[in-house]
Amino acid sequence: MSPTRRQALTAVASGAVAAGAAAALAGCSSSDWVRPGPADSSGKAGAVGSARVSPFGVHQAGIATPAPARVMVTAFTLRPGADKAALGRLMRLWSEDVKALTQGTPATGDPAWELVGQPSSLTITVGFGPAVFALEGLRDKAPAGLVTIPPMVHDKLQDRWSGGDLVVQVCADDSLVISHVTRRMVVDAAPFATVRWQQSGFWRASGVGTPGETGRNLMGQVDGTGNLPVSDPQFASVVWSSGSPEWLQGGSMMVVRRIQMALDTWDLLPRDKQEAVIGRRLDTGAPLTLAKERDPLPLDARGADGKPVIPDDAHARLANPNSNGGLRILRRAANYDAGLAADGTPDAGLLFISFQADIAKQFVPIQQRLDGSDSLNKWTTALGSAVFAVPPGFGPDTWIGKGLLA
Amino acid sequence: MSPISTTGRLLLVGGLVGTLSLGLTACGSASSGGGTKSPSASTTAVEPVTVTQAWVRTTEGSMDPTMAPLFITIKNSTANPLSIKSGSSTVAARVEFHEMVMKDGKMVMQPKASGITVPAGGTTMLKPGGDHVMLMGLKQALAVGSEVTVELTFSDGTKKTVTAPVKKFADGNAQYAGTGTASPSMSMSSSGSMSSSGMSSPTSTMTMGGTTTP
Repeated sequence: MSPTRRQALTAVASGAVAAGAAAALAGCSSSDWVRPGPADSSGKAGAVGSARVSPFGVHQAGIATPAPARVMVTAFTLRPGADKAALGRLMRLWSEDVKALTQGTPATGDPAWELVGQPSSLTITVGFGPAVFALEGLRDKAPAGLVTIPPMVHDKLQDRWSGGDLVVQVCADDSLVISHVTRRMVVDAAPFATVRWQQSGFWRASGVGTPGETGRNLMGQVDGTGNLPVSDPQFASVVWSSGSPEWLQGGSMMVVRRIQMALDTWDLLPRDKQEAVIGRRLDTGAPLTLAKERDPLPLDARGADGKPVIPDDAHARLANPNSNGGLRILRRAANYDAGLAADGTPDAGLLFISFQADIAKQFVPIQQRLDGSDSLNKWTTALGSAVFAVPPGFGPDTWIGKGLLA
Repeated sequence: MSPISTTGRLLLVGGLVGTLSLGLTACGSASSGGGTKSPSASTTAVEPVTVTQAWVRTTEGSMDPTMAPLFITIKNSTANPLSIKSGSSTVAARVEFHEMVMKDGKMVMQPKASGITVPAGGTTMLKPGGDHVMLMGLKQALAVGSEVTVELTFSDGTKKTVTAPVKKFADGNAQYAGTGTASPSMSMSSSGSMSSSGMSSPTSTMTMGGTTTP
């Protein structure tokens, strides 16, 4: 859960500035129809709803932009006959939707346009699955790093949560916005693609928690401490594609995995054992024996008993860049809760989302290492897995994926 | 029902039109975007006339597939009022500009004598139930998911080529040739006469059937 609440508040503030600028541009001094943003970031009524994130830029929004309260990810299967040209039409269509909807303007032909006026930090991110690069004219455009995640020992993958030829990630602070916007994208895609799966996730609601805090998952763990801040000099090389293929420069690659947590058995584990599984304290998220969440993991430290204070099979150790030749990813994982199974077992866990420049070189080696010996594996099971190439950002006069499809 | 073409009308439709400019200009350079600067947004010069949010209603399910409405949003950044003077498209025999008006308690569509206008410094958003560009004498069916290219010429000589996606839109008012959801009072014959009774005549009035209920 990387992008922090502090960043979110910044986005709220800049959204307010943008709203003001737009009112000025439209020549309206008194603007009843643009709800003014807050004078400060104290979270007064309306501030959350009116916050806007620009869809434009070198990168698509929804990757490095702050994670708001909710996310909906929808994967599609291309219809037979949907070719490169058709995909271009869909991307132009979707791009217009993204431009409008993120700014609180209805998508064209939207019969329920009252639902979009409060964009609530809406971002819409679009990606291409491997099958896109099997289409005529695109076969030599496949990014080498876009590989299906090899099956892991602990996976129990289901088709219903796996794969996909296209993906749309919709993030916002409001469920009504998420639902309606996702529906517009699905409706507009209908001539080209059918829905393969849809998964929703959540973080803390806007205004809950303290600015800058790392989120928690349903096991209670502080989750996402290892993410680099956007301002870190290394961030770009971790997240954004550079080099080959040219069309993907400024884009990224997305991994989506549905990771079910065995919460009933996890609850039965004593607290110190729970902390040993991760290698961090549950209360502060600090590495075991240390005081602060951001303290570097004491990977070489040993306790009085001579054993490593961060156990050899602790998740934090195995996922740490220092254990992986410096490899990193940007986690944007959300919580999911699909209710109870028929037998009363919770179907809940992590809607794991990560962005990285190269799945084969970054995600796969890290995941394989975790799959081998992470003690967390006993309580987590991947039910779904999907990979996408996320094209770079766009501007007012261009469209998403133009570099690939034009 | 008169067209949305003045500032007063803009206010009437609330946030819909009010926030329009955000997506096109202001916000792109003012907010955080994908986490970095937005070069294309910040370097785009202000164009005198922009046409955005174009879409065409599909002929699928249409009672009169020889015509289809085009909706656009026109922003006029000049100091003078503008109107669309003419239009052409490879898929249509001709392009007309229509308005919707109440006559004898009925919503009717008719060619708009004054043309579709945009006030100086203003924005006109065409939407179902109001002014629209009508593609007449269609040479082909317009399937959902296809694209239509239309060239529009404005009164100041500006030409704009618009590529519009074809979308589905179930129109409860059945202002045009109707859809699968049109009320029973809208007969085939009324829509038939609509397309054949001199649409090209600027003075004739087309009765769309008595479907003024929402």
